[in-house]
Amino acid sequence: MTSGGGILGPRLLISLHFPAGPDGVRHALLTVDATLHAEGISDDLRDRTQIALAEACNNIVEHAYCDRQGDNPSITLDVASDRGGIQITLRDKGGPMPNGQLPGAVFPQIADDDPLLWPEGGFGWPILRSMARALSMSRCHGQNILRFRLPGVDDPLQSRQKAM
Amino acid sequence: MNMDFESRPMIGIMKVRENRIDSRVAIAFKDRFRDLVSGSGGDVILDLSRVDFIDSSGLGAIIAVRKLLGSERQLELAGLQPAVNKVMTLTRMHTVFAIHTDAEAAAAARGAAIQATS
Repeated sequence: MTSGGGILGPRLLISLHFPAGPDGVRHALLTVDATLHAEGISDDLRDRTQIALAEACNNIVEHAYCDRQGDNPSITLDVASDRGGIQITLRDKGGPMPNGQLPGAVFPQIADDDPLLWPEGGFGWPILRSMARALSMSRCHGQNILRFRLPGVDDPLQSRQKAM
Repeated sequence: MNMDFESRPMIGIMKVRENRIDSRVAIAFKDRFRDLVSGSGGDVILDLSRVDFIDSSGLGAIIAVRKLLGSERQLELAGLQPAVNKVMTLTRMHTVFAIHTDAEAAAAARGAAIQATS
């Protein structure tokens, strides 16, 4: 641990390996939520964990593994408790992020006068980026490693700035 | 997808009887919604009081069913649970959807308004 870490450093709460598909993702999210509940984690932090984790996993399913449905695609997830927050590490063996850059810096625009023009997609990465702190993605030996942190208490100013 | 639709004069209440609208059920949600509202007119209140969680696929599905109703009909949301409310707020969808705490109250208010103007 670097400075600012707790005396004990991060504590692994649960490690899961699951199929990279809608059923696997839903089951993993429910398992994580039950674990965090048993650990006495606040409802707010559990909700933020579910929201961010869902988007991170959906992105792996829909993009990293988009053309590899035959290889038993899977996701490895570590959830740790750290400084009152939650540290997430996701690993997959899907394709690399195009351009090596994280997308979703801004939310899609919503035209308030015409619902028929509202975007139906493009929300996933912006949702993840506004929930997560210290988000990083790296690639090592054909594996994508996505890490991020959910702070114990949300920082509403930062969320709002990012959402605008 | 466990949902039901109660059609009342001028308004319908679509109640979602599932805990989650996520990527696993987003398409089923859209299909079921379409089937249930077909043949009815008027605005729809989407009762999400049983729904603990939506992801961006679920949000996209709610936007898709809003579009399905067309320009002449409204889709209003009711009973948003904390995680659902958080997603709506983050994405600014709370600025373009009418949101009610309770579907019954929203429908009653609408009924009262209709009587008052007639």
